[in-house]
Order: sequence, then structure tokens, then C-alpha cells
Amino acid sequence: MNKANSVPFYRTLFQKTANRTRLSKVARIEERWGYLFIMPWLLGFLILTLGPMLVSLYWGFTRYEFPLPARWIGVQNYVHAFTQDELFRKSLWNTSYYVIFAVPLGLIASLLLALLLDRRIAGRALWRTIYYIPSIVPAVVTAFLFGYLFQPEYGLINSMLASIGITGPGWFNSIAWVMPTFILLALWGAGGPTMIIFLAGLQNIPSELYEAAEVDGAGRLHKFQYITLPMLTPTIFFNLVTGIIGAFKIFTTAYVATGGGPYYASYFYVLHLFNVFFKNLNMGYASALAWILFVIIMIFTVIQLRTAKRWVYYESDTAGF
Amino acid sequence: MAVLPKITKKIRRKQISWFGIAAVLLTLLLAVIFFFPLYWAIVGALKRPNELRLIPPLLYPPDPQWSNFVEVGRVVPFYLFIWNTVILTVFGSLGGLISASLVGYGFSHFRFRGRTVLFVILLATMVLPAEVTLIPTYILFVNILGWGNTFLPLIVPHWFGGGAFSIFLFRQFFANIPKDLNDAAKIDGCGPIRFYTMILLPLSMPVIITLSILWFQFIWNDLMGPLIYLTSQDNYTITTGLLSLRSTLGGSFSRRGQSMDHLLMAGSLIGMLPSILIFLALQRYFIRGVIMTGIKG
Repeated sequence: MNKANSVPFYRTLFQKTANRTRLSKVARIEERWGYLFIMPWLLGFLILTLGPMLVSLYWGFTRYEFPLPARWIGVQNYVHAFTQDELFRKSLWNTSYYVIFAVPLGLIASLLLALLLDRRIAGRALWRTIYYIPSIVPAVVTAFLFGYLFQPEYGLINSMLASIGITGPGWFNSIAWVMPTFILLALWGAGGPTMIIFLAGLQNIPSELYEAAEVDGAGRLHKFQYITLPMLTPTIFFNLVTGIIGAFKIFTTAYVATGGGPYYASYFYVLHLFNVFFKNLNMGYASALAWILFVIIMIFTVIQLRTAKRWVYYESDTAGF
Repeated sequence: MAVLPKITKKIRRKQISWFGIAAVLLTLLLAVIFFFPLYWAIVGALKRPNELRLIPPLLYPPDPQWSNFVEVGRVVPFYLFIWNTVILTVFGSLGGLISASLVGYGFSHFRFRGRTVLFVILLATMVLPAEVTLIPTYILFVNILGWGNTFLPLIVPHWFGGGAFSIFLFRQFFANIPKDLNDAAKIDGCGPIRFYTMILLPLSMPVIITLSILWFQFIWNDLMGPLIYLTSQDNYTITTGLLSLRSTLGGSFSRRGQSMDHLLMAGSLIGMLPSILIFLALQRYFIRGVIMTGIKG
């Protein structure tokens, strides 16, 4: 065991193949077939992933205002982003705000829905369908539906508020309310995949645990606190990681509903990247912005993986799953 | 001794029922809230223009205007947009499914040098945000290959392996197919291509259906791709078409004067109807797809 552990990871990857450099005829034919079948991906990886990745890394260090040729400027793009570009700072702030509120609230809402559906209740499949449907509505349409519902002067929500004597806020048109409105929009999708993953997690908790707790006289809250939540931590963790990555990349709903306004109050990171790339044709700076996004997402993911040990509970026999 | 359990049981049942009633009511209330924006879109799509901005609002269409769905096609070529989206979705998904299954077959049934390394690289590409490769691929497609304003940049990339998730799913599924089947086929003189088309593909229908749904959703709902690659209106998809409908009708919802919201809602309904119908028909596969992949739209 110890010996195997001292070999670096990448060496073990090659070791298997190094042992059989001299291949039999049959093995050589098999190898050829193997390469043939993975060829679509291999070509795609080189041409559409690795190549563009390296190119955008390079362009991030150039001034490249299309159609003028790219010119090496070192780290100036990155310096510009962090010291001069106010829209960069604004978009990063807005995106962080959105992530900090939309992700935890979304997780709580999804978990609540999953707990409701985990009970023996009449028409469960119907409720699940209704909760799920908002998440399959295309994001462009969702933005339209919310724009219609929350229209400040004639929209249903504010008309209803007006009828009971309350002047509703401007929602998407108000600097103060635009972010909460986007968070509401995100919550409308809480019954989607995240809830389904929670539901699967809940159904994997062995019922013996609850029965044992009942024998010990545990109440509803205690069972939730000491069985459901700890047993659900791997699921919560998964939903948290994927939720944060998804929220960081919010684009479509914001592009459609507000375009970043009013006064950049909902100007998100990818919106900024898109404008620099597609409106200003500033390919060099946009590439740098893309790499900053990549690094931010990686940092978040690594932090979560590192801290996971402290709060995520993996049962020993399912650790390999 | 015999009395005690009976009493506690009685007490417990009473507690459960109160909690249960509250839970059922909450379930119902949330269902109403979740469904309401869709209901309101249906109502809006069927109203007359002068019924849109009444105060208090009309909660139902008094005289449903089905002609709104025809009218929306007169403002912009909306049904052409749907056709375009169908073409993109069919050829894109087909490419993704075919190439991902071939690659999955290669990774699961053949031994070759560097297989493990390549598979680890494949899995690593899952964490790469698309934004990182977006700009160079755009320059490649539009300025080098001259594919601007064609469907090619939105179809061709899917034929190169169809993404790590699809390949991974196929590989896992193929790897679970008994080795005996493989050997038996070989003895009967069945080559790798025949084994793939005659045995593997028919066996993997569940995976194919699940992935088709995910592909459909992914391409049908995409905004960024059509936005940057398709510049003329006759090439628009549902998503860019809806934006075009909105700007033709005179901009956002905050506009004063005569409202055109009924047409926007009609367009929205048409845009989401295929997704919802497919979901209702194949719900089981949706749910399974989510649980197997964890993909969230």
C-alpha cells in the first residue's frame, strides 16, 4: 500500500500501459479501433477546447481590439480590471450579491419542497410535476413572464397591491428592488433539478434510523436535526457547489429582463464579459475577463472541496459512490 | 403494559394529523404560487389589447382571442423561428448523441495506450466554463471559416464528442453491459461497428432518451449562441426571435400607451410549449436524467 502511495498520481496513470509496450497483433487492432472511436472527441478537444483555451489565455495578455491585430501588453488587462474598470467591480459585486442570496435561499426552498413531497401525500406526482415545470421554461420566457407579472404600473402584482392601498415597488425598474426580483425569479425554479436531487437524497436515508430515534422518543425537530440534515449533507454539498457555479454564470434572464439596468444595478459578470466581447469587440480584455471568471469558479470549488470534510458526512459503505 | 402503547399511539396520530393538514395546505398553496405565472401568461395571451391594463385586472380572458397566436406570426416570422430552432435542435442533438455514444464505446470496450489519461482529461473539461473558449471559437467560426450567420457554428461542435457529460453517461452504461455478450458477438464474427449498431445502441435506449431530453433543453433554450452567431432575422431561433418580437412591438413592458403584451405572452407560450409537452410525456426520463447527471439546465 505504502509503496503504491509514494508513486505520483500521473505515473500510475501511465504505468498500466508502460508494462505492455510490446503489443500483440490482437491488442494492436483493438487499440486502433479504440482510437478510431474516440477520435471525434479527441479532435474536438484539441480544436474546440484546448486550442481555444490556450489562445484565450494568450489574448488575455494582449491588446486585441478586433479587427486590429493582437499586441502583447503583459498583465495590463488584469491590472485594468482590478484598478480602473468600474463596471468590472460593479458586476463582480452584483454577481456576489446574487450568489450570496439566491443560492442559500434557493437551497432552503428546494429542500422545503422536497420535504413536503417526501411525505405520503395524495397526488404526489401531480405536485412534483407542478413544482418542476417552472425550471423547464426557457430562461428568456421566464424573464418575459416576470416582466409581465411585475410590470410596475399595470402588472398584476402591483395592481393587486394597489387594490389594498399599497404602492408596489418598481421591481425590475428600481435600483433597490431589481436584485430581490432576480432572486425571486431564481426561487421560482426551486422545484426543479435541485429539489429532485434533494428528494433522491431523502429517499436514500434508511428508515431504520428514524424508527430507532422514535423508540428513543425523538420528536419531529430532533429527527430532522440529528438524522435528516446530517444524512443529507452530501446532497446539500453537491447542490451548493453546482448552485454557486450556476449562479455565477447568470446571463440570459438578466440580458432579457433588464440588460443590466437600471443604472447597472443588475449588471452581472457575464453580462459585462459579453458586452466587452460582442459590443466593444475588445477580444483581449474579454479573454482576460473569461479567465478571471474561470479562476474565481475554481477557487470557490476548491475551497468547498477542502472544507467539505468538516461538515459533509459520508457513510463508509457509500464512500466509493 | 398493554394499555400504554395504545395511548401513545393515539396521541401521536393526533399530532401527525395537525402537522399533516398544515403540510397539505402548504403543498397546495405552493403549487398555486408556482403555477400562477404560467396561468397568468395563458390569460394574457388570450386577452384583447384593451383588456390588458384594466384595474382591477381581469383574472380570466372574457372572450379568448385564439387569433393572437396567428397575429404573433404576422408581427415577426415567428413560425420560421420555431422551424429554425427545430433544425438546430434535431441536428445538434443527433450529433451529440451519435458522437458521444461512439466515444463512450471507445472508452468502455477498447484498451489503448493513454486511455486513463485521456479519460481524466475528458472529466476535467466538465469544470471549464464555456466563456473561456467562447471568444477564440467565435473568431475561428466567423472570421476564419466564414460561418457567420449560418447554423454551422451551432451544430458542428456538437458532432465532436457532444460534451463530457454525455460521453461519461454512455461509457458508464456500456461498461455495465456483460463482457460475455461482447465475446459471444466476437465469436459469431460480429465486428466492432456491427456490435455498436446492432447490440449496444438498441440496449441503451433509456440513456439515449434521457440524453435527448437534456440536449433538446440545452439547444432549445440557448440564447448566447444564436445571439452571437445568427445575425439576420430569417435565421433567428425561438430565443432571439422572442427578443426580436419584443423590440418590434416597441420595447419593454414598461412602455406606456397601447399594450402589446398579449402578443408577447402568446409568443412566450409558443416558445415554452414544446418543452412542457415533452416534459409531461417523458417526465420519468427527465427525473432520471437529473439524478444520474446532476445537470441543472
